[in-house]
Amino acid sequence: MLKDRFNSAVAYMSSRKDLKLPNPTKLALYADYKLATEGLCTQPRPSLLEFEKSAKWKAWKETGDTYSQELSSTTTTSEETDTAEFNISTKAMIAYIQKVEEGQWGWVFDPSTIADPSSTLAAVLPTGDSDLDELQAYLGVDKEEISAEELLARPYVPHENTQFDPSTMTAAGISTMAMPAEEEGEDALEAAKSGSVEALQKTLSANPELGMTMLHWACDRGSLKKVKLLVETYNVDVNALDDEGSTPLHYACLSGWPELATYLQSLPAVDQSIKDHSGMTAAEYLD
Amino acid sequence: MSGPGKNNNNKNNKEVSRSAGNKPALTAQRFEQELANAPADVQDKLRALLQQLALGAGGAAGAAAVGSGKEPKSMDEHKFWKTQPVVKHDEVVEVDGPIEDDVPLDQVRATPYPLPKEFEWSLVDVENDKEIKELYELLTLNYVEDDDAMFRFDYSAEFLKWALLPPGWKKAWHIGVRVASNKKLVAFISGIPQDVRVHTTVKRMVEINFLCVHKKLRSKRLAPVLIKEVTRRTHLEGIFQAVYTAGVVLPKPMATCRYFHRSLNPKKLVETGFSHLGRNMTMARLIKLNKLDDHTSTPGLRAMEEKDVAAVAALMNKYSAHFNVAPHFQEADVRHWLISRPGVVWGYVVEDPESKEITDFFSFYSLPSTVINNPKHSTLNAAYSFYYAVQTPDEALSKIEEGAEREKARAEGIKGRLTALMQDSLILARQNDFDVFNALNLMDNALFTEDLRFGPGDGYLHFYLYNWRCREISSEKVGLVML
Repeated sequence: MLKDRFNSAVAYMSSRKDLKLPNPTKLALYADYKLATEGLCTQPRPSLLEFEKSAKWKAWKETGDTYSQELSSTTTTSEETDTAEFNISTKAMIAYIQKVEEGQWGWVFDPSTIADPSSTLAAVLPTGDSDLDELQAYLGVDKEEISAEELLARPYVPHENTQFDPSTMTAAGISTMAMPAEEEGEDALEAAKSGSVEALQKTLSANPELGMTMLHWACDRGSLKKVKLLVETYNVDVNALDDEGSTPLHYACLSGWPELATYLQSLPAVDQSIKDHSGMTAAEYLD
Repeated sequence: MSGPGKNNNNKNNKEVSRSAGNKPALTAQRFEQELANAPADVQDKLRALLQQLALGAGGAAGAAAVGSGKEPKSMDEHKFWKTQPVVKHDEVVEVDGPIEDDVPLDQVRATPYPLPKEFEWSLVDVENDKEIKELYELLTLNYVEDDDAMFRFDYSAEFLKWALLPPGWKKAWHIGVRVASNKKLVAFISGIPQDVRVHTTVKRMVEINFLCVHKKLRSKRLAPVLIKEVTRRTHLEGIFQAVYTAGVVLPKPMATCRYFHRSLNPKKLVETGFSHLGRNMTMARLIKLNKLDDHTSTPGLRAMEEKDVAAVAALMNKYSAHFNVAPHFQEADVRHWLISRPGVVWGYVVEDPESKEITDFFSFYSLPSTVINNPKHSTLNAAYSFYYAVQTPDEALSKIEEGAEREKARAEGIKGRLTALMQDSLILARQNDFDVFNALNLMDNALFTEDLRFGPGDGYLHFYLYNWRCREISSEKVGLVML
């Protein structure tokens, strides 16, 4: 399978001397070819004066070293462990084929050129076992000519129709919280610009911002940069109270941003003794 | 996964802008918005229909691709399900029963189905540390429904042992496929035996789970062979019905449930993208709203022990009788599934402080997820509600003749107690460092989800039977929980 594809690609490339590929490409293909057919380079280094030989030797040697390293490295991420089980020759064949495919020099693999018909399940004759025949009739549709080894070595390409793939038949995916329903026009500015009259009225009467200042919001979401900007550049009121009597420091503590709380507590202007409507000081919310 | 109820006009919403070029998704979202006003059961049915329509669209798009020589997968997979004894999408079941007759043992195919030649069958020895690790790696990296997920299930070896080695487990049903040349484990399917009652029929069935093919080898069509092979192996044991669940719509769900989530660590859930802050919601308020007491409130609540097994089995089977599909647990099943195992499952009972009788029980299990590409968090600890039972006012209920009235009285009779128990369950889950508590809207869960601040999820779970026609079951009549 892999070998057939490799041989076909090699045959094609040798028939296309007219391509005038740049030297680095030629050398890379040469290195993969040698590694695939002869393995790692064990020949002595040619004289430096023999430029072409020397460059070829270098490509063969260095590519081999790189591949060996990749194959033996155990520190790769778990995603890549798939590739760790192939030998140099397989890896080089796959690399060669990939280069030829990516180069788009017109190579197409024709599986019918392979003389062994038993290599496809579809060719198996009816067996009399109806279950098996049914399965084979179904599997016979498979025109996949790329071997499992090669597929595993390649980067993953998602399928388009995984939704009904029985491969995921029992998988349930991971449900996450559905998006909260958006209530139109709660932003007063937005409502004034593009919302309905009712929406604007709602924002004006109900005060949807809960009496929160920009500093409250910045403390809630935990951005030290924004808090510093508001406090140090725009001198906002650091003890502003929202509808529930909470200061920005209350928000920083309750939302669990200790670095924000520390910063606010370091400011002389911040009154740390303020209690919210539940009778709690900010520090009491800090876990 | 696209969440329902999103506002398409919100320019700040990344999810929406990402799918803006995708017309079907947009339509689906609008549909979801319209749906939000419909009653819950209608919503679920329409959603299932919507997914089926999506399936049809995939088929049509596929048909256009036929001319290019490469037959599209969706058509093939559809073809596969057509050959299987499952209820068709357009079929309405009025009488329960088998689709195909039982196969006499001497007519069951004796040898495994042939695999494509690069592959070989290989049973996975779940008790062997090396092999369970291989399985764990296969599932962790490949057992996913969609590719751009933010989370990935992170099964532990202990979890898999618990899931795959219940009473009566069979090694022959832990079926692996390896690449012949390098012996890499690339596919798996499992079955475990379980007595299941569907409406009034109790059947020995096999629960099929963990069907997984290496994602780079999906084009090799191993899944149908795996399904055929596990079917053959269950036939060899004289079992002809199977039950399984999936997030996708296949022919044809007997029931469809929706996931609900209760935040235990709201800040982490927001930071990982699991949940979202609404426009006017503050983190501070979210944390306040989801705060739980430090201690449980039910007197006599304690961890379940070996000595409780008989009482819990009796309680469970009595409680399950209310549902239209439910497992029938023997004492051995209760011992396996419901007694706590560190890091895997937590089981609790309520022992009446005076009579010393076991009056209620509940349980939850752990299934963490890896958080993909998040600078701050790597793991999301999720607890899933498992089996439970509460006392029902049987005597009072037996006096009510009319069915609907009796149902109503039953719900009113158990709601308070169940809510208090599940509140304790949340507290215990929080104490055990879980970030979120998940429950489907099956069993009596709808009685407490709102009061206990569960929010609807974007995921659904469909329940299926293999070779059994079954009248459709509404979610609150499902009494079966599958891992």
